[in-house]
Amino acid sequence: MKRIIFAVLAAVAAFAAFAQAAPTAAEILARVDENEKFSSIEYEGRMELTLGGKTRVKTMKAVAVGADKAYIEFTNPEDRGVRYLKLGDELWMYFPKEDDTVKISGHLLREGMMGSDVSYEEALESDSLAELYDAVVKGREDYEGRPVWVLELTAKKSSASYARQILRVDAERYVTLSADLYAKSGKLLKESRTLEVRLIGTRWYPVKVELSDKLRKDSRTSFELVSIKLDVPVDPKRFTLSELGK
Amino acid sequence: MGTLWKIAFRNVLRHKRRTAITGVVLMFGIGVYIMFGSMLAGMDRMSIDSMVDYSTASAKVTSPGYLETMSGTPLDFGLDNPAAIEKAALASGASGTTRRTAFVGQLSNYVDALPVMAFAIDPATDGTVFALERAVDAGEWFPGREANEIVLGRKLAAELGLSVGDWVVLSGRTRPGAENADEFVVVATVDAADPQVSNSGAYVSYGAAEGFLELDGLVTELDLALPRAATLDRALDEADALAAALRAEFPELSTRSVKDQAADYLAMRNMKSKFSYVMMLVVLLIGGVGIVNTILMAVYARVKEIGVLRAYGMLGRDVKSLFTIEGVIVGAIGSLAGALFGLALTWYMVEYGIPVGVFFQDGGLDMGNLPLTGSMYGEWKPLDIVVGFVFGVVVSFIAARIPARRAARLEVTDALRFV
Repeated sequence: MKRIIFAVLAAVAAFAAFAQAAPTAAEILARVDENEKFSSIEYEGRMELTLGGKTRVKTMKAVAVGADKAYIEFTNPEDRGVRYLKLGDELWMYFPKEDDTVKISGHLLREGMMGSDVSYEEALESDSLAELYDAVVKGREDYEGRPVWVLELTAKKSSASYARQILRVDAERYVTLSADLYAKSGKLLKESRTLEVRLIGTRWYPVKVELSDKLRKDSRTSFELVSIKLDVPVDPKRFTLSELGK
Repeated sequence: MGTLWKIAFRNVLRHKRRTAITGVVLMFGIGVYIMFGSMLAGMDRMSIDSMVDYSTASAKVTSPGYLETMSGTPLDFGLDNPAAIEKAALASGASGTTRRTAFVGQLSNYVDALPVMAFAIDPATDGTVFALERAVDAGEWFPGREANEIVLGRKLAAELGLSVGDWVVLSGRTRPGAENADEFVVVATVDAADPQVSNSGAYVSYGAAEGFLELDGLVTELDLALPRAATLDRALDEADALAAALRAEFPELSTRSVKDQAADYLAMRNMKSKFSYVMMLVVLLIGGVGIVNTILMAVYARVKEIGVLRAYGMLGRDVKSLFTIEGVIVGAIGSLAGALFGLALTWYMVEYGIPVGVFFQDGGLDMGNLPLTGSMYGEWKPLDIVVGFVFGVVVSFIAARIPARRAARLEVTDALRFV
């Protein structure tokens, strides 16, 4: 009998310890934001687009301030000089061969950016997850050798791109290692997997991510930050339409 | 003059083969001209009919906000009271009305995905305005056995390897802006004359779209039909009148007739018709050259005869008149035959048409606004028949004058010695 009482007390104590140690979903998302949000970023990226067994590679240089201003210039031979400028929820594209700047709007926003699985609309979203979703911690598990918190996010705004998301957040580094993105109907639309994280200064940052479209066979986009500088001073002139066409 | 006409008639009848050759040249020239005009008018009618039947309707009512951003098919601007507009449209002579909400979607068979121009439609009333229901080539028009039913363009379905009864995933953004995707069963495919419908058209009922897109009763466009008019110009004018009547009653809305919606095409049509007149002029000139040549040959073949006539005392101006009359008679016979031939060709074009599907269906030929299926019909153009006939007679007159003048100038002795 003593042994049973001891076992129950031990279990209760362990549970209490876990409950005390387990952060809330809001705390986890805040920690993720701390890691992944930046005041400014400058990077050189490499994008691999795979569709139907064929892979295309695109490279780019980009600079961004917060989530509202971004400037991307493609450097691979086929798209050299193609530039994007994001200002809030508006997006412009510059075509060097035609020397023309076009605003991406309407149904074009649903198209994949440069043929990738990331739509222009997704690229324009700037609200944080905590603003768009209610989150609950569903548990803790191992994911590809890392301990992760499993979070279920349910859209609290009907304008959120996805009705539900399942996130797996590294329980020690607080980086999102995977995200399953669901439609309102419950259908899985996209999967995002973080393939590599790197310690930059004091924060862990995802530097290689793969996104796959679950409505197409063999359709995925991997994005790698080849070089990255966080929180560096950026010339605000970079984010003007006049600079885009220069 | 009476004697000259008698001689001319006798000569025309005497030289049957020559008369026949000249007449046939004229007949073909004028007949082809008349048929060409009918065919061009028919092509215009067919293109506009295709737009009316599958996209523009005779007139379309939207909110001004929707019109400004129409290319993006936004789900932000609806019609507040479509029932009132429908009632007014029917009172203004519309023969049918239906509601539609366009949205951009993506269709996936889990292997491939294609962008589609999708519409939420009312299956019960769509057929009173559009020809989609009549274009079903396989399956059944929204039988209502499943909650999520979809009708697809024939080529779109073929490209995704889909048949009637297959399930497909339709994805799109809801009205508030969230991604959604759901499975729909293909209940029918449509082989529409409008290539855009066949290539990328996807249609779901309002019943299914309401939940899928969270429409909350949103109707972005109201489409209106008119009874079929006898001619294209009348059809355009009647559509304009209907739109004007609705604009007067609902000034806060955007009401556009097919003439407004197809303004670019119609402007192009005007340019095209100018170009086609040039082409037809070329056809007639070729015919004219043929006539001149045939009559010239007739004069040279009869130089000795001219010498004899002059030797018997006929004056030079009489010879000129004789050959001119002969030319005009031959021209009139040929022009009449040409007008009749053109009438027959036009009648065939109007009644039976030319099947276009065999030429373009699987060839992937870009025919612009021209439909890819069915037959291309002609239109009656009475003015072209009159123009063709008059042109034939006038050209024959001018063509006969030149050799006739030459014949009149010949010396009697030269004419008699002419080999």
